[in-house]
Amino acid sequence: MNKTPPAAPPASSGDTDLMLVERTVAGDQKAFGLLVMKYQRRIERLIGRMVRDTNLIEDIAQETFIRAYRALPQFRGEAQFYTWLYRIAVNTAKKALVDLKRDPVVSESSLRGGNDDDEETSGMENELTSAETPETVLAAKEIAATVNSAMEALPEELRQAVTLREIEGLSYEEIAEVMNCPIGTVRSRIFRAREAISAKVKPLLENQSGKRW
Amino acid sequence: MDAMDNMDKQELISALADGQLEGEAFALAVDAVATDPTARASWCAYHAVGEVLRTGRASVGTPSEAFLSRLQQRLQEQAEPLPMVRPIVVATSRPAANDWVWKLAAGVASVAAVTAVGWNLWAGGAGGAGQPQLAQAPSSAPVVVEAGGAPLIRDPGLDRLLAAHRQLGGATALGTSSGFLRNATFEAPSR
Repeated sequence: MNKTPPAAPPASSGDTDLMLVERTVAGDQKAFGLLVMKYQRRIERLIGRMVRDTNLIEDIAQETFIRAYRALPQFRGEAQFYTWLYRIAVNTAKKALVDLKRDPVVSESSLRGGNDDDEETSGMENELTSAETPETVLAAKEIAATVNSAMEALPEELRQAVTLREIEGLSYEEIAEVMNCPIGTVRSRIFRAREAISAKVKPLLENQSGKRW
Repeated sequence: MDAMDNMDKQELISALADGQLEGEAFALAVDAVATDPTARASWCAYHAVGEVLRTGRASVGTPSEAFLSRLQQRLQEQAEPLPMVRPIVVATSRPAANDWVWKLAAGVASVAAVTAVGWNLWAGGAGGAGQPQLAQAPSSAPVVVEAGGAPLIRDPGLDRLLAAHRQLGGATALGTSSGFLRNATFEAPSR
């Protein structure tokens, strides 16, 4: 069941995760906040594939991050941070499901599907899950469409830089070689591309209050 | 730090998202995201954009600010600090704050010692053997005693010491043997 989580971020992004973990363990709790903000939505979406009750999703996600926070000193960086967090989330959701089954007052509708624990991560990345509502599906599609249209509107050099980075996973050095320009230019182009896209996306992200899986 | 000069805060956060920062720049970017809501919004947006570009899908969920706020509150309520596992720090040879004082003292002591030795040598050579010997060291001729039929050569100083402290010889007050003195008990020839 513990399959590798899909769509891992580019490799050097994992270096940032490891540095944030080390910083948190060294006593800088702000660093943990960055990890939470980075992965919170993905973890909620993962849990939403396992738990039917949308009210439970945030609670389980919260519990996931609390467990991860406590276990951070044991994280050695052998796996990517998200892979490690993904397993904690799956185990936390499983435990929540077991607790729900023991609770006589819980309705069957709170539980997703059958009892098979292997179901929840088996390639459902693009399926409509029972915890999703038409509203959240629409919001997600709107964000995706906005990102794609903003990408198409970018100047070629910016679009190429951010594509090589985000989709191909190349490092700044590799992009500089491909685009035949200095690394500073690569960094600037990626930043400008992100800013242009984010300007369109931020209002949608900030307008999600109350929209949960 | 020179890289920092050419980057504004938002560009710094973009580079942080790509794992391109380290050292002071990394710390500055982390602080910026932690303290500045605009920087925080950019951090979240950059990752959301990246996810859409990689997967074609966006994740919709609890607003990040609200989620993080509740999480911090829960962690504080549980009052459970993060169990720290710090790397073992190998002691380095960093000088103490008062290191120069000790170095100075050691230097002065060394010079004084060399001066004293030199003075004694010079004075001894100049004075010659004509100066009277003020004290005569006791004879250190070894004493030969019989021990189990075999002659045992001992220091006469040890014999004098043991003669003056006979009560320590043999055994302790508890009746057990008393270690070294058991083997060095004074046995005068008269006994």
